[in-house]
Amino acid sequence: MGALAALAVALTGCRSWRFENNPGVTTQGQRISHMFVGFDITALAVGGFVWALIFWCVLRYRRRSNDQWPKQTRYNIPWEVAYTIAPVFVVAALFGVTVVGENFVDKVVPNPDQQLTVTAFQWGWRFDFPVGNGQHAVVVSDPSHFQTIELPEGQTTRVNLVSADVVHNFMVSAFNFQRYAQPGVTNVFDFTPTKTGTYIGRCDFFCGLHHDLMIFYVKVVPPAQFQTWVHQHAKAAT
Amino acid sequence: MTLLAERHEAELHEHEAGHRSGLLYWLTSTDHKVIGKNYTYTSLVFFFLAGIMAMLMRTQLLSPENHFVNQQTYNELFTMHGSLMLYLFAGPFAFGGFANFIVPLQIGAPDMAFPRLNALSYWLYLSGGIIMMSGFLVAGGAADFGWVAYAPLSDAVNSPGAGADLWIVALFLTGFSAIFTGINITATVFGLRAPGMTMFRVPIFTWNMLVTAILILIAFPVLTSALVMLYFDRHFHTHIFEVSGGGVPVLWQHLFWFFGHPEVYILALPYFGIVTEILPVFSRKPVFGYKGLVFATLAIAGLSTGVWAHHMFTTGVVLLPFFSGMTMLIAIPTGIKYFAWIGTMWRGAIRFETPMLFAVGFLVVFLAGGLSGVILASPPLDFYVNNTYFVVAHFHQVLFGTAVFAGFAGVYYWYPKYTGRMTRRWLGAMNFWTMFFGFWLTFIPQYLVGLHGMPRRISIYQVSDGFTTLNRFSSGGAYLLGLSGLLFLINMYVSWRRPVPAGGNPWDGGTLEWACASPPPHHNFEKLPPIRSERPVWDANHGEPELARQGPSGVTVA
Repeated sequence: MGALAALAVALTGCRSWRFENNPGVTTQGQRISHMFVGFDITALAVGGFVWALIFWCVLRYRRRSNDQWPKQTRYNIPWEVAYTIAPVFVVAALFGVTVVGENFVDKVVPNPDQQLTVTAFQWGWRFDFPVGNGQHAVVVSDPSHFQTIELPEGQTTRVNLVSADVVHNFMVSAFNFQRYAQPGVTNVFDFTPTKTGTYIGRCDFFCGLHHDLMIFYVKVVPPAQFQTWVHQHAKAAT
Repeated sequence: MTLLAERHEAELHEHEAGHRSGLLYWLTSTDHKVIGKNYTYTSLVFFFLAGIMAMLMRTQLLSPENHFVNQQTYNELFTMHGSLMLYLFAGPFAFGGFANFIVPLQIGAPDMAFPRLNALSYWLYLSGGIIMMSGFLVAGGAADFGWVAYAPLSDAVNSPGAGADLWIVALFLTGFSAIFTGINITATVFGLRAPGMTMFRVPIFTWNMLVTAILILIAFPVLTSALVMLYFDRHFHTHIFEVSGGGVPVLWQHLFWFFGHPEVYILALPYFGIVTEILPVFSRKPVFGYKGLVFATLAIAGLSTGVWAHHMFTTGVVLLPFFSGMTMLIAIPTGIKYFAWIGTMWRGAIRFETPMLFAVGFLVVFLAGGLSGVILASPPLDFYVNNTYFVVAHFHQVLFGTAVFAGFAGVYYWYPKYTGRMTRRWLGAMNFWTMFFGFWLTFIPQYLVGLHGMPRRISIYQVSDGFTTLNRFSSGGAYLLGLSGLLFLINMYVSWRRPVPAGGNPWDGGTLEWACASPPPHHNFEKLPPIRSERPVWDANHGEPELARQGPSGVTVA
């Protein structure tokens, strides 16, 4: 297993103490990244323990002669109680971390800095930023033109996510976040980008022939630059 | 009881007729062993077909911007790969193949409770399989909306064409096949156990098949009903899943996963049972913590009906803590099973015949899938990796671990009983080691490429995505798995052309199927040994020392 882990590290060309998780470029995504590391460590600890027991049996208890007749142990109540109870604590701890984490990630603030309505369709995205005075900055990304939208760094953007046809999935992998766009459902969530840069966004639920071409780019920029961009694109609502 | 009396008479007549082979016998037989073999061979055909589809997809993903198959074909391939593997291989291989052949033998019964219903199950299953595959022959191609067929993508507007209808009808038929098999197994285990075979002496494999059968009866009617609704939406404008007519698309997800998650355990529990048969035999010990295993199986089955919406964490319309908590709880009975399996090997005298290699291989590989499952049970982490290759790697480790590692363990273990022949040990070892390394090489890179943001079900990625290297490793692993499958077929072929006779009990097995000849005669048993524990054949061959020598702590003193 060690060799395989080493191989896994070698494959990616860099050693990463985050277990290859994205660091997350939003406050929500960073939280998820930290949780992920915690879960990875727990999983490897539990897995390492159980794998060690299995390998111990495999190496130590091989049949060395055909006359070897081991004790016919059928049960051992203290051990059975112990291995039933012990995992309960691990699971309870993970569940506690989960509930706290998901409340943080799913929290929506009362007054977000920027509103954004995202409409997913076959096969693209329509981004609608209201900019006041009945004006909207609208960007449509489709297979002929993958478009870039800008978002303000350090500010909270509220996303209202809907679908015009089938089930899609709004994913910006660098944000460590995704949410389904479904007909008949409006999903609402916030994110607060923390690092400038351009990140790829995709559809992450299979939605028909050109599913893999539902690409857009998110460019996180300082708030002043975002305001310039959004006003350049502003038009009266049609 | 009346069932038993009737059958004895019926068997006598068949015995007189004396026709034991030939096409007509194969077509008309209601013998559980013939039906079990039919299921096994048919499901293996679907397994290899779906495996070839996997090779085609891995070849497409070998390079960025590859055009080995076009997008439409790729969509059909992953839909049919998933459908074949889950509906036509992993399930029927276990509850059709192994359960039919082994359950009546393990409880000392002459056949299943309803032999004709059993035959109907098989023919419905085969018809369903052929109908599903025939989608490739129609204009517009096979179904292409994924094996989960989410509405409204699966409606008449978004998925016109006969392929989708054939898929729905095929699943409808195989759904009924599974339901009938579930009824049959339940009735057999409750009604046809030999005298002395109390419920707590029933081998764990049969216990797990019973629980699986009950889960089938809970889950499959929901799927079958949902398929009827989908068909009505497509052809009779019922709008059950369509917003435009006041319908609710997300209802499909609820119905599908209310079937789909118990289905995962329908696919896992039988294979847990197989491993629980193999570990004691090759460790020369009884199974450790028998009752704990039974209760763990029941707990897993119970919990599995309350976790369906963990497939829907990112929908934003489900209660996250409930489904997350229920899902994590499943880790506890699964942990009990692991410790019981380790306890069975502990201080044993382990011999690595081919079945044992695969069984221990199962323990090692399934654990990885189980651990990533706990990660996915946490909604915030699922928000990150849901529907990426991380999930693909997770469920392939789980399902490949069970249906293939434990499934092949079962094939190698019972092959002598099925056929009266042995398989070649060295070929079995090569089969195992290529599979073991192929498994890690295929799926570890998929975890990583998922963490790097590669969605599932895309046929083309760009150089700039940085997915290339990991996908190359994964495809290499897939080819190694293909080679492994080939070695399995070679092993079967060699044993067919150059038979090595197996005898009744080649592995020194302890359960009742090893008390009859290999292959078992039509009525199964000439006579039964007395049944005083869960391994009556061991007691008959080696005495019953453990009963006499049981110490006060419950641990046998030597």
